[in-house]
Amino acid sequence: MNERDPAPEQLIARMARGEERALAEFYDAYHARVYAFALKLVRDRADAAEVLNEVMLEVWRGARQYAGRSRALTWVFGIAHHKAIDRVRRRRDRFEDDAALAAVADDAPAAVDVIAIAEDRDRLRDCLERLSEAHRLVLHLAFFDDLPYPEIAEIIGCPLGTVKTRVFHAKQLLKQCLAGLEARAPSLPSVS
Amino acid sequence: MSEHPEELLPWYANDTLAGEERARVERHLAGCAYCRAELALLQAMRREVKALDAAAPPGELARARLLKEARRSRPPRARWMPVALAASLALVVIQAAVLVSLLPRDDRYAPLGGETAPGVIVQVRFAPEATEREMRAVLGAVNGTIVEGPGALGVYRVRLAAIPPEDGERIAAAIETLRAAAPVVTHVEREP
Repeated sequence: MNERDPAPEQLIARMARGEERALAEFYDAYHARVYAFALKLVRDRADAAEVLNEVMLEVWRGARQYAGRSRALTWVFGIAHHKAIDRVRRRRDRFEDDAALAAVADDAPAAVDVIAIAEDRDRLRDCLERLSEAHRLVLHLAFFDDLPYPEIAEIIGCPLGTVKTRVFHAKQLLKQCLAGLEARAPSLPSVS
Repeated sequence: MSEHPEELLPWYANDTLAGEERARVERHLAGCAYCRAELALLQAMRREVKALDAAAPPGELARARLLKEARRSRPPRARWMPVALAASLALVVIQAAVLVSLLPRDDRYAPLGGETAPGVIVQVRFAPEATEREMRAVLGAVNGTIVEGPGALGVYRVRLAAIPPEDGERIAAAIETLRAAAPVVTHVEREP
């Protein structure tokens, strides 16, 4: 996606009129972001590609129903979230209890004590990868897609406060990891 | 959590905070070294998430597949659209055909006889959990050889070397054999 890409709202309006070319343009502009998001959830390239295909078809079929109540990309990411969760559910029978996410130790060090360690990119990356899927998902939307927290809440279907505390907890856990405290949250296996 | 606006800092870091929330964070940051360090850590996290989560999306085959499926499930359209849509459909069909014809061939999987070897090509997708042994058994049942793949969607191009292209009956039987291998095989289609 770049600044010359047509606005997603315009493309969806053209899809609603049956213009297949608009679907192709939409795919070209946004498929990489939808795919990256799906991959974050399903963690399998083939499954993520299937989710991408399902999302694009859903956008095509549902273009007329898109009411413009939210930003078009928020609507699309919301579809992707549902599709990816469905696919994960078919693979697993365990889902995290959101309450488990709150079970984060409050004794994380201050950032000033670990910021020098975070300059070691390998170490930082290792600690990011140790976070739970739910934490990584919200970090993906906040830092890969740079979305505002109200849109993230709408996409993953949770209260605004949950989004904010989830990123906060992710940062606390990351600091613990960087400091070598390894006080990770209890197994947070999945998505919400 | 303290009076530090830590739950808003991630959205200051991704530049989506606005209005009073943004002003509040900026006022606080000006006088708080603790939060400036937290922000620096969040910015480092954001840089790493962008690098870590960037994934190579599916290629042209996925795009061609989407457009093909979209044609089968088009949304309701206005009465004046049929002619224009027929023209755009033709364009998309041509594009898809060109794209497929331009797909790079992977010599690693070419049979010893080379690409000019006789036989019919079918596109086969195996279940993600299918083992190599199961795949070999399925391919052996139709005397098939993988000549390319898997693509991003997990599709393999399989040559049915023993069957001449004009023998529709044997081709149909081979495809039926492959389809009967579900759930190891999830999709079979003769390549045009």
